[in-house]
Amino acid sequence: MNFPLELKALEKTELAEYGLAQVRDVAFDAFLRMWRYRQSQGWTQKRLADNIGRDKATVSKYLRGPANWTMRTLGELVQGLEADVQITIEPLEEPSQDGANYDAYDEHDWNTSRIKAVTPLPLPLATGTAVSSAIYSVVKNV
Amino acid sequence: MSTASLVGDLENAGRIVRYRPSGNRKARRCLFLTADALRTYNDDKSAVVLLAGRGAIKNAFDHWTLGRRIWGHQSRGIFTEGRFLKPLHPPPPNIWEIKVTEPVVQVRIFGLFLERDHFLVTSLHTRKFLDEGQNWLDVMNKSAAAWNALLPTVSPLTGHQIGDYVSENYDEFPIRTKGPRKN
Repeated sequence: MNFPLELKALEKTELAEYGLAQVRDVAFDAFLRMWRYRQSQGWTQKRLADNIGRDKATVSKYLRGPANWTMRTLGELVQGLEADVQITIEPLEEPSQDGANYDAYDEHDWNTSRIKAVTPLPLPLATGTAVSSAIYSVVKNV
Repeated sequence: MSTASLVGDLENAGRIVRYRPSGNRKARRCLFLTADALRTYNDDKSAVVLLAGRGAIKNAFDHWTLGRRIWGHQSRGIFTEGRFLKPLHPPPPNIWEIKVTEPVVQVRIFGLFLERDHFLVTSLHTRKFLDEGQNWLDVMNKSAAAWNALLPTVSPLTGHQIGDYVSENYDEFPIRTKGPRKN
Protein backbone atom coordinates (compact mmCIF):
# COMPACT_ATOMS: atom_id res chain seq x y z
CA MET A 1 0.00 0.00 0.00
CA ASN A 2 1.32 3.41 -0.94
CA PHE A 3 0.54 5.23 2.30
CA PRO A 4 2.31 8.49 3.10
CA LEU A 5 2.97 8.40 6.81
CA GLU A 6 2.72 12.09 7.51
CA LEU A 7 0.11 14.76 7.44
CA LYS A 8 0.88 17.33 4.82
CA ALA A 9 2.31 20.53 6.27
CA LEU A 10 0.16 23.59 5.86
CA GLU A 11 0.89 25.94 2.98
CA LYS A 12 1.61 29.53 3.91
CA THR A 13 -1.87 30.58 2.83
CA GLU A 14 -3.38 27.82 4.98
CA LEU A 15 -1.45 28.97 8.04
CA ALA A 16 -3.61 32.08 8.25
CA GLU A 17 -6.79 29.98 8.26
CA TYR A 18 -5.29 27.70 10.89
CA GLY A 19 -4.27 30.66 13.03
CA LEU A 20 -7.72 32.20 12.75
CA ALA A 21 -9.41 28.90 13.68
CA GLN A 22 -7.06 28.53 16.64
CA VAL A 23 -7.63 32.06 17.93
CA ARG A 24 -11.40 31.73 17.56
CA ASP A 25 -11.35 28.39 19.37
CA VAL A 26 -9.25 29.65 22.27
CA ALA A 27 -11.23 32.89 22.55
CA PHE A 28 -14.53 31.02 22.60
CA ASP A 29 -13.17 28.62 25.20
CA ALA A 30 -12.11 31.51 27.43
CA PHE A 31 -15.43 33.27 26.94
CA LEU A 32 -17.48 30.18 27.81
CA ARG A 33 -15.42 29.54 30.93
CA MET A 34 -16.12 33.05 32.15
CA TRP A 35 -19.77 32.74 31.16
CA ARG A 36 -20.14 29.52 33.17
CA TYR A 37 -18.57 31.29 36.13
CA ARG A 38 -21.07 34.11 35.83
CA GLN A 39 -23.90 31.60 35.45
CA SER A 40 -22.81 30.00 38.72
CA GLN A 41 -23.32 33.43 40.26
CA GLY A 42 -26.87 33.57 38.95
CA TRP A 43 -26.34 35.52 35.73
CA THR A 44 -28.80 35.00 32.88
CA GLN A 45 -28.44 35.59 29.15
CA LYS A 46 -30.72 38.58 29.61
CA ARG A 47 -28.30 40.19 32.03
CA LEU A 48 -25.41 39.73 29.61
CA ALA A 49 -27.58 41.05 26.79
CA ASP A 50 -28.54 44.09 28.85
CA ASN A 51 -24.90 44.72 29.73
CA ILE A 52 -23.89 44.94 26.07
CA GLY A 53 -27.07 46.60 24.86
CA ARG A 54 -28.18 43.75 22.63
CA ASP A 55 -31.12 41.39 22.58
CA LYS A 56 -31.13 37.92 24.10
CA ALA A 57 -31.20 36.24 20.68
CA THR A 58 -27.85 37.82 19.81
CA VAL A 59 -26.29 36.58 23.05
CA SER A 60 -27.75 33.14 22.42
CA LYS A 61 -26.08 33.15 18.98
CA TYR A 62 -22.75 34.23 20.51
CA LEU A 63 -23.01 31.34 22.96
CA ARG A 64 -23.48 28.78 20.18
CA GLY A 65 -20.12 29.50 18.57
CA PRO A 66 -17.65 32.12 17.41
CA ALA A 67 -18.43 31.82 13.69
CA ASN A 68 -19.02 35.51 13.09
CA TRP A 69 -17.02 36.92 15.96
CA THR A 70 -14.64 39.79 15.40
CA MET A 71 -12.17 41.28 17.86
CA ARG A 72 -14.91 43.78 18.61
CA THR A 73 -17.33 40.97 19.53
CA LEU A 74 -14.83 39.47 21.93
CA GLY A 75 -14.13 42.84 23.50
CA GLU A 76 -17.84 43.51 23.81
CA LEU A 77 -18.43 40.16 25.51
CA VAL A 78 -15.50 40.55 27.90
CA GLN A 79 -16.87 43.89 29.02
CA GLY A 80 -20.40 42.50 29.16
CA LEU A 81 -19.16 39.79 31.48
CA GLU A 82 -17.56 42.45 33.68
CA ALA A 83 -14.24 40.73 33.18
CA ASP A 84 -10.66 41.38 32.17
CA VAL A 85 -8.79 39.69 29.35
CA GLN A 86 -5.24 38.39 29.09
CA ILE A 87 -3.73 36.88 25.96
CA THR A 88 -0.72 34.59 26.07
CA ILE A 89 1.29 33.62 23.00
CA GLU A 90 3.87 30.90 23.58
CA PRO A 91 6.80 29.78 21.41
CA LEU A 92 6.05 26.39 19.85
CA GLU A 93 9.55 25.08 20.46
CA GLU A 94 9.13 25.33 24.23
CA PRO A 95 6.90 23.15 26.40
CA SER A 96 3.43 24.54 26.93
CA GLN A 97 2.80 26.55 30.07
CA ASP A 98 -0.42 24.66 30.73
CA GLY A 99 1.35 22.34 33.15
CA ALA A 100 1.00 19.13 31.11
CA ASN A 101 3.60 16.73 32.49
CA TYR A 102 2.69 13.67 30.47
CA ASP A 103 2.02 12.84 26.85
CA ALA A 104 -0.96 10.73 25.87
CA TYR A 105 1.15 8.93 23.24
CA ASP A 106 3.69 7.75 25.83
CA GLU A 107 2.07 4.34 26.19
CA HIS A 108 2.27 3.86 22.42
CA ASP A 109 5.88 5.03 22.28
CA TRP A 110 6.65 2.62 25.10
CA ASN A 111 5.05 -0.17 23.10
CA THR A 112 6.99 0.73 19.95
CA SER A 113 10.32 1.27 21.69
CA ARG A 114 9.96 -2.01 23.58
CA ILE A 115 9.63 -3.89 20.31
CA LYS A 116 12.65 -2.13 18.84
CA ALA A 117 14.75 -2.70 21.94
CA VAL A 118 13.93 -6.35 22.43
CA THR A 119 14.47 -7.39 18.80
CA PRO A 120 18.30 -7.10 18.77
CA LEU A 121 18.71 -8.70 22.20
CA PRO A 122 21.33 -11.46 21.84
CA LEU A 123 20.20 -14.96 22.78
CA PRO A 124 20.95 -16.81 24.92
CA LEU A 125 21.56 -14.23 27.62
CA ALA A 126 25.11 -15.01 28.60
CA THR A 127 25.82 -11.95 30.69
CA GLY A 128 23.92 -9.17 32.36
CA THR A 129 25.43 -6.62 30.02
CA ALA A 130 23.06 -7.27 27.14
CA VAL A 131 20.05 -7.02 29.39
CA SER A 132 21.25 -3.77 30.88
CA SER A 133 21.88 -2.21 27.51
CA ALA A 134 18.46 -3.29 26.23
CA ILE A 135 16.74 -1.80 29.24
CA TYR A 136 18.75 1.38 28.83
CA SER A 137 17.57 1.63 25.20
CA VAL A 138 13.95 1.41 26.24
CA VAL A 139 14.29 4.00 28.97
CA LYS A 140 16.22 6.30 26.69
CA ASN A 141 13.61 6.00 23.94
CA VAL A 142 10.72 6.61 26.30
CA MET B 1 -3.59 -7.99 23.27
CA SER B 2 -3.76 -4.42 24.57
CA THR B 3 -4.99 -1.48 22.54
CA ALA B 4 -1.50 0.01 22.69
CA SER B 5 -0.08 -3.17 21.10
CA LEU B 6 -2.76 -3.21 18.40
CA VAL B 7 -2.25 0.45 17.62
CA GLY B 8 1.51 -0.04 17.59
CA ASP B 9 1.16 -2.89 15.11
CA LEU B 10 -1.11 -0.82 12.85
CA GLU B 11 1.28 2.13 13.01
CA ASN B 12 4.28 -0.04 12.29
CA ALA B 13 2.43 -1.60 9.34
CA GLY B 14 1.65 1.89 8.02
CA ARG B 15 -2.11 1.38 8.20
CA ILE B 16 -2.82 4.25 10.57
CA VAL B 17 -0.89 7.37 11.45
CA ARG B 18 -0.99 9.44 14.61
CA TYR B 19 -1.64 13.17 14.73
CA ARG B 20 0.85 15.09 16.82
CA PRO B 21 0.30 18.66 17.95
CA SER B 22 2.82 21.14 16.57
CA GLY B 23 6.12 21.93 18.27
CA ASN B 24 6.76 20.63 21.76
CA ARG B 25 3.12 20.58 22.77
CA LYS B 26 2.24 17.48 24.76
CA ALA B 27 -0.78 15.50 23.65
CA ARG B 28 -3.52 15.10 26.27
CA ARG B 29 -5.56 12.84 24.00
CA CYS B 30 -4.61 10.60 21.07
CA LEU B 31 -5.86 10.85 17.50
CA PHE B 32 -5.10 8.43 14.69
CA LEU B 33 -6.05 8.62 11.02
CA THR B 34 -6.73 5.76 8.64
CA ALA B 35 -5.13 5.75 5.20
CA ASP B 36 -8.36 7.05 3.64
CA ALA B 37 -8.68 9.90 6.10
CA LEU B 38 -5.05 10.88 5.68
CA ARG B 39 -5.37 10.75 1.90
CA THR B 40 -8.32 13.14 2.04
CA TYR B 41 -6.47 15.52 4.35
CA ASN B 42 -3.32 15.50 2.23
CA ASP B 43 -5.11 15.82 -1.12
CA ASP B 44 -5.10 19.44 -2.34
CA LYS B 45 -8.06 18.60 -4.57
CA SER B 46 -10.30 16.87 -2.01
CA ALA B 47 -13.62 18.61 -1.36
CA VAL B 48 -12.88 19.30 2.31
CA VAL B 49 -9.51 20.89 1.53
CA LEU B 50 -10.81 22.92 -1.41
CA LEU B 51 -14.00 24.10 0.27
CA ALA B 52 -13.16 24.32 3.98
CA GLY B 53 -9.37 24.29 4.09
CA ARG B 54 -6.83 22.25 6.01
CA GLY B 55 -6.35 24.99 8.63
CA ALA B 56 -9.75 24.54 10.25
CA ILE B 57 -9.39 20.75 10.21
CA LYS B 58 -5.94 20.88 11.76
CA ASN B 59 -7.33 23.13 14.48
CA ALA B 60 -10.00 20.52 15.23
CA PHE B 61 -7.27 17.88 15.52
CA ASP B 62 -5.45 20.23 17.90
CA HIS B 63 -8.60 20.84 19.92
CA TRP B 64 -8.84 17.12 20.56
CA THR B 65 -5.19 16.23 21.09
CA LEU B 66 -4.33 19.28 23.18
CA GLY B 67 -7.16 18.41 25.53
CA ARG B 68 -9.21 21.53 24.99
CA ARG B 69 -12.65 21.44 26.56
CA ILE B 70 -15.42 19.24 25.21
CA TRP B 71 -18.27 21.66 25.76
CA GLY B 72 -21.80 20.42 26.06
CA HIS B 73 -24.82 22.43 25.05
CA GLN B 74 -26.49 23.70 28.19
CA SER B 75 -30.21 24.28 28.47
CA ARG B 76 -31.96 24.80 31.81
CA GLY B 77 -29.07 23.20 33.64
CA ILE B 78 -29.07 20.05 31.48
CA PHE B 79 -26.18 19.22 29.16
CA THR B 80 -26.53 17.57 25.78
CA GLU B 81 -23.92 17.00 23.11
CA GLY B 82 -22.17 20.18 22.15
CA ARG B 83 -20.54 21.93 19.27
CA PHE B 84 -17.38 19.82 18.93
CA LEU B 85 -17.93 16.12 19.56
CA LYS B 86 -21.15 14.24 18.87
CA PRO B 87 -22.19 10.58 18.94
CA LEU B 88 -24.13 9.77 15.78
CA HIS B 89 -27.47 8.08 15.93
CA PRO B 90 -27.13 4.32 15.34
CA PRO B 91 -27.17 2.07 13.42
CA PRO B 92 -24.36 1.49 12.90
CA PRO B 93 -23.38 2.02 16.54
CA ASN B 94 -20.38 3.79 18.04
CA ILE B 95 -19.76 6.21 15.17
CA TRP B 96 -18.86 9.78 16.20
CA GLU B 97 -18.33 13.07 14.48
CA ILE B 98 -16.01 15.92 15.27
CA LYS B 99 -17.68 19.06 14.00
CA VAL B 100 -15.71 21.74 12.18
CA THR B 101 -18.29 24.48 12.08
CA GLU B 102 -16.49 27.77 11.63
CA PRO B 103 -15.74 27.84 7.89
CA VAL B 104 -18.73 28.64 5.65
CA VAL B 105 -18.48 25.10 4.27
CA GLN B 106 -18.55 22.95 7.36
CA VAL B 107 -16.67 19.67 7.73
CA ARG B 108 -17.47 16.54 9.68
CA ILE B 109 -14.68 14.25 10.87
CA PHE B 110 -15.95 10.70 11.33
CA GLY B 111 -14.43 8.13 13.63
CA LEU B 112 -14.68 5.68 16.50
CA PHE B 113 -13.09 5.38 19.91
CA LEU B 114 -10.29 2.86 20.37
CA GLU B 115 -10.43 3.50 24.08
CA ARG B 116 -10.92 6.47 26.37
CA ASP B 117 -9.15 9.54 24.93
CA HIS B 118 -8.16 7.57 21.79
CA PHE B 119 -10.03 8.55 18.63
CA LEU B 120 -9.56 6.88 15.25
CA VAL B 121 -10.52 9.12 12.31
CA THR B 122 -11.98 7.11 9.45
CA SER B 123 -13.01 9.85 7.01
CA LEU B 124 -13.63 13.56 6.46
CA HIS B 125 -16.53 15.08 4.53
CA THR B 126 -18.19 18.40 3.91
CA ARG B 127 -21.53 18.88 5.62
CA LYS B 128 -23.01 19.72 2.23
CA PHE B 129 -22.04 16.31 0.84
CA LEU B 130 -23.48 14.52 3.87
CA ASP B 131 -26.83 16.22 3.57
CA GLU B 132 -27.33 14.92 0.04
CA GLY B 133 -29.41 11.74 -0.10
CA GLN B 134 -28.27 8.87 2.09
CA ASN B 135 -24.71 10.02 2.48
CA TRP B 136 -24.79 10.28 6.30
CA LEU B 137 -25.74 6.64 6.57
CA ASP B 138 -23.35 5.54 3.82
CA VAL B 139 -20.43 7.30 5.50
CA MET B 140 -21.34 5.83 8.88
CA ASN B 141 -21.45 2.35 7.37
CA LYS B 142 -18.09 2.94 5.71
CA SER B 143 -16.65 4.04 9.05
CA ALA B 144 -17.82 0.81 10.63
CA ALA B 145 -16.34 -1.14 7.69
CA ALA B 146 -13.02 0.69 8.01
CA TRP B 147 -12.90 -0.24 11.69
CA ASN B 148 -13.67 -3.89 10.94
CA ALA B 149 -10.93 -4.00 8.31
CA LEU B 150 -8.35 -2.64 10.74
CA LEU B 151 -9.49 -4.19 14.01
CA PRO B 152 -11.68 -7.20 13.19
CA THR B 153 -11.33 -8.75 16.65
CA VAL B 154 -11.82 -5.59 18.69
CA SER B 155 -15.02 -3.69 19.48
CA PRO B 156 -14.98 0.09 19.56
CA LEU B 157 -15.41 1.72 22.94
CA THR B 158 -19.01 1.91 24.10
CA GLY B 159 -20.28 4.07 26.95
CA HIS B 160 -23.30 5.78 28.41
CA GLN B 161 -21.97 9.27 28.94
CA ILE B 162 -19.20 11.42 27.55
CA GLY B 163 -17.06 10.78 30.61
CA ASP B 164 -16.75 7.17 29.45
CA TYR B 165 -14.94 8.46 26.35
CA VAL B 166 -13.01 11.48 27.63
CA SER B 167 -11.07 11.55 30.88
CA GLU B 168 -10.76 15.27 31.55
CA ASN B 169 -11.93 18.75 30.64
CA TYR B 170 -15.48 18.04 29.49
CA ASP B 171 -19.12 18.75 30.26
CA GLU B 172 -20.85 15.53 31.19
CA PHE B 173 -23.71 14.61 28.88
CA PRO B 174 -25.48 11.33 28.18
CA ILE B 175 -24.96 9.35 24.98
CA ARG B 176 -28.35 9.21 23.26
CA THR B 177 -29.02 6.09 21.22
CA LYS B 178 -32.80 6.26 21.06
CA GLY B 179 -35.29 8.66 19.57
CA PRO B 180 -35.50 10.08 16.06
CA ARG B 181 -32.38 10.15 13.89
CA LYS B 182 -31.09 13.70 13.65
CA ASN B 183 -27.85 13.25 11.75
